[in-house]
Amino acid sequence: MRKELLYGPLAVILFWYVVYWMGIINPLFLPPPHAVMAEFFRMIVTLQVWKDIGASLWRIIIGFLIAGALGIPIGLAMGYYQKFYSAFEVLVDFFRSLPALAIFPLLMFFFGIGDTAKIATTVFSCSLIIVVNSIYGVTNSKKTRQVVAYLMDANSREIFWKVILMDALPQIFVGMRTSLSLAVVVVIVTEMFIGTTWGIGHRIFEAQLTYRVPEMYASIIIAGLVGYVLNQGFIRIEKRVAHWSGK
Amino acid sequence: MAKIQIQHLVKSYPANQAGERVLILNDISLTIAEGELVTFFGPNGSGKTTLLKVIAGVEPYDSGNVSIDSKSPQEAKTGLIFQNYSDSLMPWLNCRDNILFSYSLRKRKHKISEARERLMKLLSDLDIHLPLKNYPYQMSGGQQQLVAILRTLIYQPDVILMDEPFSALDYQTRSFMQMTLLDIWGREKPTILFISHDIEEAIFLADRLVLMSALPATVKEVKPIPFKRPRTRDLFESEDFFQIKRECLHTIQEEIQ
Repeated sequence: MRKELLYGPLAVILFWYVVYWMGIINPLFLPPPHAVMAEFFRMIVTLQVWKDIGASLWRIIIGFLIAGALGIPIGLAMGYYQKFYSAFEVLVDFFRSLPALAIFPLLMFFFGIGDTAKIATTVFSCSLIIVVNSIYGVTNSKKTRQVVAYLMDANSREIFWKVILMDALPQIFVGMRTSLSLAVVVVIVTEMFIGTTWGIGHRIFEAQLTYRVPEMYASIIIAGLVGYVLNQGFIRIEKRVAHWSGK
Repeated sequence: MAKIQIQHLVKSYPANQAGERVLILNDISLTIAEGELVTFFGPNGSGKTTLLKVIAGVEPYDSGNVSIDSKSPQEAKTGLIFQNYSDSLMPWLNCRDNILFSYSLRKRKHKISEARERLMKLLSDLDIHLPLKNYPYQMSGGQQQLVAILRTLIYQPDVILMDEPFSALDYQTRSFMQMTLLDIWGREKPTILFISHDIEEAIFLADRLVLMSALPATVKEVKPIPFKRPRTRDLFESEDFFQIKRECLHTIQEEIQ
């Protein structure tokens, strides 16, 4: 079983070599895999890239956590109170349709070129996904369970906290997992803008500008690995907390 | 002594935007005694579920009167058991916490240790083996429905309302659950109203069987089921059983056509 996991990546590397050897792409833009690997390990060992990873991770996680802290309560309230939902429905749908990066320049006006604007953009895009999924979780919570609790003389507060919220939890986690992946995207892209000193996105962009192509590839791989590890880690937490999800 | 009294109960639903209403329950009158097990049988979609919901106090009614121990359905303590156990159990709680859910609520929290002891005694008295630490998705359908029944029984409602509780189970499990229910009922003597779509089940379990008409639902006939208890499954093969079944189907047949 585990052996099969390697087949996909190996096939990609093989394909990469084939394209490289055929020489159809200028080797300046497509270095061979071993050159990229060498650069990758050099970056890891010389420790310089860790500061970039740390900076990106910090933005991702802080943005993600704030998005959750805002998005979950708002989503729960919108799912629970029909009036609240009606009042904000159009707004949520509008902002959700707006590409988050479209407002990054605007947020740079308010928050400057430092971390705050990047985190704010992340919070903006992630919280909307969490809001929508939390609403969905609440509105799809099983009426039967609420009736059962009601007949056991649960008050409305208990029905909310002990039934509706728990019922919504798997869907809230789906929203959080989706938004965690989006947080990686948003942070990496915003790091390519002016004013960033550290960050994986910044490193990718710098390497491209200065034609350090293997470093660019290696940085892209690092960005992918960061996203992958975060996602896998989150799935672990999700399986523990919302263990009944999908069963 | 009358436990549940239903007098001239009428209930309708809005049928369309124009304010027209469709009649669901049409002048239903029934009296049910304390500790009685009454089953309901009738054509599909004949408002039996609606009747249970009205008695449970989760659906309003238009006119007539429903009282449980002289209380209104809202005031009375009722328990509903659904056909779809997986939508009614709490999948985030294990078997034991599901059964004791009502004792996690503010109203009964102080009695939880007493309830826990009562549950353990009940399980050993009934010789029921449940994986108490398992979650619903780790249990069989029969076990899950048993959890739903115990969960209702343990908070001692005035009446237990069961809406086709065994319909989703396979034949063997259903037979086992019927025997277990009779066993539970024999010991605890709760008042049970039980809807069934299986005429044999409805006869086998019942003190009295209520035959319902098609919509709008009326009571066609209330049939006392005279077999003595405890009943065994041999009953299914007796001539008396066949006779009652024939009579019931004959009554219902007019409704289906």
